[in-house]
Amino acid sequence: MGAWLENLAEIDWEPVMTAGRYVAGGLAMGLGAIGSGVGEGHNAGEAVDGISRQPAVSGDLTRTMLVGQAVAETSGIFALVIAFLLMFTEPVPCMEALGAYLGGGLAMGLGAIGSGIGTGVAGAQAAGSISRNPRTRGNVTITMLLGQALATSPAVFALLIAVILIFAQGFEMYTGNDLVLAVSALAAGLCIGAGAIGPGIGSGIAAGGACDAAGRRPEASTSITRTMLVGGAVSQSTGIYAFVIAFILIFFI
Amino acid sequence: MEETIIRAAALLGAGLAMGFGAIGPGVGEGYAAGKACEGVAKRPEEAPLLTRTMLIGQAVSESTGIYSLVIALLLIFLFGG
Repeated sequence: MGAWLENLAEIDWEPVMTAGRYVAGGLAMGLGAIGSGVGEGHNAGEAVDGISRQPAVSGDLTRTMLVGQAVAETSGIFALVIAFLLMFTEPVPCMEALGAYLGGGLAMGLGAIGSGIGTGVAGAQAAGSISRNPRTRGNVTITMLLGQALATSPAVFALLIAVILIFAQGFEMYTGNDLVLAVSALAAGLCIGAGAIGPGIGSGIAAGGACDAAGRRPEASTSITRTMLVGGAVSQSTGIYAFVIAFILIFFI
Repeated sequence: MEETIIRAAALLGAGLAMGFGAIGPGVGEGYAAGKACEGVAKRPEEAPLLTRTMLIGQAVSESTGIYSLVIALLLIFLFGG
């Protein structure tokens, strides 16, 4: 059964690698667009809902919506950058590079989903909150931005792992035809990519709750922000475990 | 030869275990935190009690994430190393 494994070095990896990194680029951008799209749409929906309740503050609501959407776009832009890198860098053609590039694409593609949805949920709740109590706009916007920053951090972890996987060849990593190393690079990408989905959505829900709360009771906003940051940090923990496992898969195998 | 495939499979399994295992706790803990924030808005004087309850609930929700971490580490160092 293992004949093909012994012949790995004799395969011409050049065309396989070219095809592989185009697929990886497509996966990065295709999967990476899901989160930002859903999140920004949710944000816009709530803003429209808010304007229908309070047409007088439509300017404020539109501005807050655009600020929130701009932050929700970040993870989609990360995916775009990784897709460009995957399309235009020329790796040493080998099996390990194929694993690393597919891993990098999946890491950023999957990793952008959670943060995109999460930041969108935060922005949507902020829009609802402002339409109920327009005087608290400043407070709610600050809470929203803090929460969105927290919700974007899993996408930053995924970006970091994707960049490491893509540029590892420059440091003499992933330049051979070892099946174990190729698969471990792919596994590292899948690990941080999928692992970033939950914390991104969760921190976003936490931030959304905080935006809602800051609009209802502005005088308790210090306490609300503290609760959001503590709760959001706990919800990040599984993302950090995934980051550690990805790191082990890259550097200790 | 089989050994190479088994090692590769163990490492892929580790990545899948931790990656997909992290989704649930992340969403669940965030939901708890969001509800805690809303609770603080309704009764700011009960903030310490709400934070404590939130943290206990999150710790329970974290458990499956820790199982994933343990399984991933076992797969890497017992079967993949």
